[in-house]
Amino acid sequence: MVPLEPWEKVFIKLVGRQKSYADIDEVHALIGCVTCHGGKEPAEFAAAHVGVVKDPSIMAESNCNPCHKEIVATNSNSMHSKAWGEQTTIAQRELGADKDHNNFSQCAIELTEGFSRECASCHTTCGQCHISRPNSAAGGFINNHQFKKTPDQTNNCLACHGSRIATDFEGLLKGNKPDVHHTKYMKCWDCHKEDMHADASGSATRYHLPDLPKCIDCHLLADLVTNDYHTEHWPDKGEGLSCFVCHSQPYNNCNSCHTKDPSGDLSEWWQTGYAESPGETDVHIGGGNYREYPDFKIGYNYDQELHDGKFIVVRHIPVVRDSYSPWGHDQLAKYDERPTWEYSSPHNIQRFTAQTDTTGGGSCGKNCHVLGDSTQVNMDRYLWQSNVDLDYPDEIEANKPVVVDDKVPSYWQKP
Amino acid sequence: MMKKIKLIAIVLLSLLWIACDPGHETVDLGDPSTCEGCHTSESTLKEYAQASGTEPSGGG
Repeated sequence: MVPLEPWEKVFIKLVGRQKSYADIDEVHALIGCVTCHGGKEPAEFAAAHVGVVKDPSIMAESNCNPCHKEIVATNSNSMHSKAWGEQTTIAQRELGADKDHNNFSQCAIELTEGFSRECASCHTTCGQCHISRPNSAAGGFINNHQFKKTPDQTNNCLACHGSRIATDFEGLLKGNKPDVHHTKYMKCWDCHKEDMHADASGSATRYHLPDLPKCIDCHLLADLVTNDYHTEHWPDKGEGLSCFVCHSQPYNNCNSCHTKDPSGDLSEWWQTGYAESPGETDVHIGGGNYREYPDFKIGYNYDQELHDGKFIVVRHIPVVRDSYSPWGHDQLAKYDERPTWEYSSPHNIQRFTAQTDTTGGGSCGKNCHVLGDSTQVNMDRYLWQSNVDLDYPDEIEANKPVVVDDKVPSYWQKP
Repeated sequence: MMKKIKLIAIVLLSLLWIACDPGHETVDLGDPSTCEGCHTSESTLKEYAQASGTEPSGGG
């Protein structure tokens, strides 16, 4: 993303025969600036900006509703607006694994208020997808305050989904190739056809959305089963491998983030308490200004109702028992009830990865099965109890459902 | 032949439309006391940004 000077963020550049904003957006120009943004005109700079609302779509019910009534109505409960998944993870770590976003309001007030103040401020408004870069990227018009029906992939989608999705998709991680779909010039919305404005209050997380894309939407089942590896490892319920197990490259993982201290120095809040673990190598500051480290781990599918396959790819996520202590909530009461190595769907797909490369002959099993000459290399691809014991001693209980020790074939070697 | 004529006609009409389009005239342009006048003027925005020393409003 190209950085924008402060003045550039609010500059409407007229080009060619354009003589006013109406030449850029005839319809919205009819409404007039003050109607949505408030303020006063004509006036001097200071007086003009008294009471100005920089993002009027934060009040979509009054500002966008007259024309976009149906979308506004459902979008107020969309996944992007409400971050239901975040609410679910907090509820489960505070109230118990059987809870979800519907129970979030029962959490301690420090959590619900902190969430409204901090998390909800990013998740998101109409304008942050259709006019400007999102708040998390410090704003700025995408294209002269033009209302874009389809958001800009780089400046909207990947501005938020940066440290993981963008890094993966564009192959920015050292040693990785870009996702094959990126190489084929596919955009986010070529796969993600789910209705972004739909009421998602019935979905506990993004993975619960009914119309989430699946590989077989494009890669026809009939073609895939002609491949012996696919036949052997197809991710049926409770069996086989998630597609990502074979076709993902290493991806970024995070560790031990804390929330902001509302009264303290916020400049490096994401580093507060970051405790580098022995197993983390190449810890670096990524595109989202977060500390992260590359890794690839195959874990046991701890939620087979939700995800296909017996084995899945898992990513270490940035939560610790006292993540919310800056909000005044010292410990998550049920921290042990949700894994910190979570199901992941890395967007760095390749047909041939370290797991599937059969260069030189032999089966790709030699790259995965913990047997024979490749034992040590292959062992590193899995999440074992010993990994958690060593790197994340406070997360042992939480990750018991994910470690593979007693899930892989009994004749495999183990750490 | 008819296809070619149609194509030429479309191109000519498009050019005519572009040439004759006056754009949306505005009386505010260049007037820094109006929203549009200020926000379409690079030099004015730069001036205000420098003078205020803070990020101008907008861009959320």
